[in-house]
Amino acid sequence: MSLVATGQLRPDAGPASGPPPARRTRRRLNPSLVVGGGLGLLLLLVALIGPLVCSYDPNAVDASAALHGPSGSHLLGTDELGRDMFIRLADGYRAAFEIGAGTVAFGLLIGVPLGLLAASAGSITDNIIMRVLDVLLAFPALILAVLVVTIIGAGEGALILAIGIAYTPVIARVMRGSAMATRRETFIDAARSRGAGTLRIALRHTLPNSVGPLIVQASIFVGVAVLLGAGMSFVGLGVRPPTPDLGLMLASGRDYMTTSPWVVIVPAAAIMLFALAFTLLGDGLQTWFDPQRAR
Amino acid sequence: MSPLLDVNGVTISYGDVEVVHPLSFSVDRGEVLGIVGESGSGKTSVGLGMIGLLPRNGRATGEVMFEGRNLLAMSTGELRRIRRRSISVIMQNPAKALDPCYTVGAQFVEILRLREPMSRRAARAEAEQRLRQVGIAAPAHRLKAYPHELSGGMAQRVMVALCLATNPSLLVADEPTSALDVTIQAQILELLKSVIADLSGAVAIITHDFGIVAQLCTKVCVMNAGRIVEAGPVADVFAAPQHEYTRHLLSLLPGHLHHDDQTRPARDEAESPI
Amino acid sequence: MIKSPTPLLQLTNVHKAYPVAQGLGRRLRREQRRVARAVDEVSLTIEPGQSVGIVGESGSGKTTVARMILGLVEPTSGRVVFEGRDVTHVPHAQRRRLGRDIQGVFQDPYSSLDPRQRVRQIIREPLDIHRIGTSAERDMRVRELMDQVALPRRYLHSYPHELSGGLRQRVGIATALAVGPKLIVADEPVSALDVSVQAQILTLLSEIREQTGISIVFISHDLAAVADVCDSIAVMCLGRVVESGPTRQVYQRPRHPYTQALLSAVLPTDPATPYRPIKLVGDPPSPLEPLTGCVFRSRCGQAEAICAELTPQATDFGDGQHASCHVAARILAPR
Repeated sequence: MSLVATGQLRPDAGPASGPPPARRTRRRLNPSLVVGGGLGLLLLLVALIGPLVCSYDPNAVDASAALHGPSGSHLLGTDELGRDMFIRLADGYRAAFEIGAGTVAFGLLIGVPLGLLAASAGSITDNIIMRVLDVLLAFPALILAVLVVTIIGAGEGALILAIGIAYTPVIARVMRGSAMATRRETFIDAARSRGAGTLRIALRHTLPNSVGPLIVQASIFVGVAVLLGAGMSFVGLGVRPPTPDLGLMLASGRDYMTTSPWVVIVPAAAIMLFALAFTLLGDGLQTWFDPQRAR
Repeated sequence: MSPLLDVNGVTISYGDVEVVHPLSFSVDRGEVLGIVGESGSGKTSVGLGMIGLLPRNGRATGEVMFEGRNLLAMSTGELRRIRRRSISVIMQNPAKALDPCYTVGAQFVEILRLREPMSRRAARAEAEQRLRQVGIAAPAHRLKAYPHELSGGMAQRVMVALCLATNPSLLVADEPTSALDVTIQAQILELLKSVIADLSGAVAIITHDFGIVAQLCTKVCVMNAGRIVEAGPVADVFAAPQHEYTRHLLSLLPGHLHHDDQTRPARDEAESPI
Repeated sequence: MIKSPTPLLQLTNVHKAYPVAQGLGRRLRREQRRVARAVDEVSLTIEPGQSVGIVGESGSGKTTVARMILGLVEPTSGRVVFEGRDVTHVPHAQRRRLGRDIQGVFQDPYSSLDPRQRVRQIIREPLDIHRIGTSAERDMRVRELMDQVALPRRYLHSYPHELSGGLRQRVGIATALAVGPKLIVADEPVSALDVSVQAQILTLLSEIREQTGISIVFISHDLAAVADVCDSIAVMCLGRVVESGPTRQVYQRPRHPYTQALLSAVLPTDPATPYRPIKLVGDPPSPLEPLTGCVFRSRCGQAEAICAELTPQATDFGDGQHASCHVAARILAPR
């Protein structure tokens, strides 16, 4: 009898037609994702809404109100210059989000095309790009950032540039790795055999399919960038006063640690929460992407 | 005499999805059961689930009576003891079933020494002997190899030797030749045939290939969508399949590519169905 | 078989060798760079409307041959001629034109479709690449193609992961047909599918062949699958074609010991029929250390001294059947 069935069955009737297709599983939110995302949103809210609910001027110096602890009129107390801690916190978060977003945007803008190019363009280009990036990666991020700032000068813009340069190689490398893995998939071969050019393959096929690890990386990057930024401001190489910055608050509050601990605790906790939120978010995103990838 | 393996009303679920609906079957000593079906039929879930080898999110309920005790009701420790002594599983991908960090010999010796206390030297000697029994020439050399250095066929031979080393009463083979080339598959099937003939216990073979069932098995359960649609002695089911699904699957099989080699006269054109 | 003046595709003495990465020790000793010979002196001719099966086990080189035909891999030596034009080393710009005439259907339905694209985009893409018709015309063509491969239209906006293996393979076939190719290279198109679905897809391929006259190169390790779709067959072993000819003929009277072994290894489905596969000795040799003489001799039960010395050439056994075997050739030698 012929091997070929005479079309008695409907095409793909029921489960006897191959491994069951992946159901549209509701992607289950995992704890990291929820907590990280929630926390991040909360902090963003503080940054945006803070100035609206609290009428203090973050830069208004009022010696008479200096170093008051948390009270009814000042939720988080005042610092050594009488400035309200809460509004400075909100302002500091605003700056932190700016730094985070700015550095990530910079990193992605430069790193993604570089990584994609390295993966798509052939081994010579790949080698050139990666070796240059390797040199940058060999420097600890802090040192690199300090170097950039020393050349350009301090300030928020310079900080964004510096941290961006420090982390672009990481983004490029992640992009490259992800793109190389994607390129080994059969559908890339199929596209090539149908006549698709390198550009089309890179942009329409490789890029969208390699984005997962990148999103995770970018999220973690935000937290790390702010951490680094705070550190640099702490040592005076980041933003300069009176621009609000959590690191600066930490630095200036250091002297009053023993007498008025809230002056230090508030910025320290703020930095920690920010970094925690985005690291958790990144972790949660990774878990969220994983089940989908596992077909 | 009660059957060696008695599966009663077993269901298997992953999360809240029931993939195997309550089913029952049994295997006696000396019998070779083929659990056959396409992907998604639940055959692998049943075959592995009945001996407690489901992945983390899998759950099996019901009764699996093995040598008088319910496997599904046992603690992990008890199950492990049973798996060490009485039940062996031949996996689909032999190279992946072995730990890549250790040599074949090291793993073999370990398994033998878990079976009963013995010196390393004695274990190694027995390992060599067993490898020879499954048709591996130069066994001493093979024992020093790492799993990834073995070819597919060789690795599966090693797996078979390992599985037999514990003198199991129940041998379960999960798609033992699916990952192998056709000519190697032929060799391994021959090996399995002789191994099964010498075994005094029961064998369960999970496969999608009716050809394997025809060659190795004495009884068969045909599964579809988590249920057994037909079961019975192999000769009967093949000769007169009762269920439409079984008939359909059997109709798709070639089995008529058999030719005669040079030394035998060529078949008549009329006989050839191609 | 009447030979048309210009065969559609011709591979002549095609080789593909991959250099093997060498450790420092060997490099310092200036040892000759080892190569893995994936394809060795393969010649193949495909006429318009013909379907050719290439069978072999892993390491036979059949997939490499497929990739060479599709232009994904360039041969180390030898020629690939399509419709009389030499396309062996095609610069990338011209590759696109060839892409219209030669299309591929790939093995793994789970990785051969872009998971981020919907069915409509996937099938449309070749039309976009080759700029065929207007956008509306392309969309209509997509629907036509879906009908042609019996893919229900409701899947137009589905993602690959929502479809079963058989449906995905239909998408793959529809995409291959989109620009109206003259040749389809199907690389193990049904190996990853369940038996009942395999039959449907094979029927589909046969129907398409009948309706459109497209030539098909069908790569498989499954002899039975090839039997229904292909008029002629080439059996490959370790990079060489060891036997070729009309499918029916080769299956009924295989000349090469390897073909005989392959056919004998197919399981009978009647429990009463004895299974007597021809015993092959040992494992296939490593492609890194190719044997002198016949590639199959280390496993062959009929090997003789000459098999180690001389690589057998193809002997004509009549009616288009060729086999490369010293022992088999002796039958034809005049007494």
